[in-house]
Amino acid sequence: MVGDWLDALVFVGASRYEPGVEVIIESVLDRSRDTDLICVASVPPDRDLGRANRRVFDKCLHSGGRARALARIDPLEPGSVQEARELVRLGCIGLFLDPWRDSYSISNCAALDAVVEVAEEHGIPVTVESGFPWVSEPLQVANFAASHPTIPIVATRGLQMNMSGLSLEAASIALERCPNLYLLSSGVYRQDWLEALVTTGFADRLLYASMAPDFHPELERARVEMLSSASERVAVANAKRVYGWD
Amino acid sequence: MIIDFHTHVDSMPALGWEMPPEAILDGMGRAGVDVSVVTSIMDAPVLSDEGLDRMHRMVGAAKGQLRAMARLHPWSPEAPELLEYAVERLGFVGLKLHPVSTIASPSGEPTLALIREAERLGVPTLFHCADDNLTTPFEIEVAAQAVPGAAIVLGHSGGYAHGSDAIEVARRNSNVWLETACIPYPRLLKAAVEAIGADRLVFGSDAPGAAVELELRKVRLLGLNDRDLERVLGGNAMRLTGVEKW
Repeated sequence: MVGDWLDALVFVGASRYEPGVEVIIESVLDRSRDTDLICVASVPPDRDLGRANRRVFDKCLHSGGRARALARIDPLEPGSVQEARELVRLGCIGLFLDPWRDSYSISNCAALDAVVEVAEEHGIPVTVESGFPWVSEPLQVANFAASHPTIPIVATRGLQMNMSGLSLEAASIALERCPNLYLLSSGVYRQDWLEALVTTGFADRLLYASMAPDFHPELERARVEMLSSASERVAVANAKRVYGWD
Repeated sequence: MIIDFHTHVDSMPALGWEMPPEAILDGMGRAGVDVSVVTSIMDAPVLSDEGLDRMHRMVGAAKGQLRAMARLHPWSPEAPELLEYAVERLGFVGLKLHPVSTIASPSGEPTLALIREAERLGVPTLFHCADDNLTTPFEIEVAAQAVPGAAIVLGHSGGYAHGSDAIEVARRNSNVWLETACIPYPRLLKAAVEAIGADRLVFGSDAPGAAVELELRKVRLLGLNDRDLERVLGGNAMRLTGVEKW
């Protein structure tokens, strides 16, 4: 049984994509006393990412050290590099990219280079919404990770989303090729694949994340608890190491 | 009684895949499932010329804990005859179609001919229904409307990104059922019950790739009342297949 948890990705605030759903950091922390959080702003109804990022950062600052923020950056927005630089200066522990929502390919977007340079300058991870067709398929994310070998690249959704498991092989190849690539466990229904990652030497590259409210924390935790030999590492230790959470 | 409507057994040495009945039976034991409906991975007779008989032997050895569904390739002219053989001679309880594997359009005449045969034989047709072309809910809806007397089950209920479409298709077609395997969003299954009631939702796990205990836990997270939960976990599968006593 896992004791403490570090949830490596929670979406916070109101979302333009899910009207009526608003995640409040204090409520999540109150509900789960054993869980610390890495938070990122949901895309707010007004799409003002700057204000949403600062709101999340401020909430994390007042969480008693139990929550820290990623900076959600849309590289196609004017001023995105300056925004990333400012949020990292404030204390954000990583960048968050969403090629699907923001309409670019993670493997082919010139505007990304300067944004990622900010992460490289500070040696902090970049989390990428992954598994989306055309924009963040496993080997597209691998291509991105290989271009930025000095920083951890954290892929959401186990790097793949396919109900027939058609992308599992590509996701495994991506892990083999890119030692700086890490996966979030959230939403990966193929428990046999998660178990295979553990038994084939990738247990240190798998991080628990609920990705709430998109996924259900109880179900996502259960996936990790079943990885008995590696569950502690996946639940907390790996994320602490990757994000330098001390 | 708990019935898992969607599991797999097969042996594919060329791919290095072994899914023996014991893998299903072990998972059933851990999760408290009474009966599992199993299909092959390969589509008879094109990819497996003796798949139905082998499946029958495997199921027979499980002494009533496993019931078989015939996974067939619509392009084979023998497929309707094989379905009749499987249902009437071997006691199979349904037809499974996987258009990712067969690239047969759900609304193409070869597929419709098989669905019509399933209707004549009084067994349901379970489609792999997810995010790939040929498998989306709206594509399968065309088939459901072409054979309105056939019971069509949307396995995976639309996968990662087509859950809302699957609910819409079930809402407007009374011969369409939803099945719970692997879709990682309990909230969408809850929305399905709110939209169509609990009478056309059946529990499935897609074991052994997915863990049956996790899939069962997911359904229990819906917070259904005892009567509805009993239907989803077993009663509906009995009604759907016409097998009142399993």
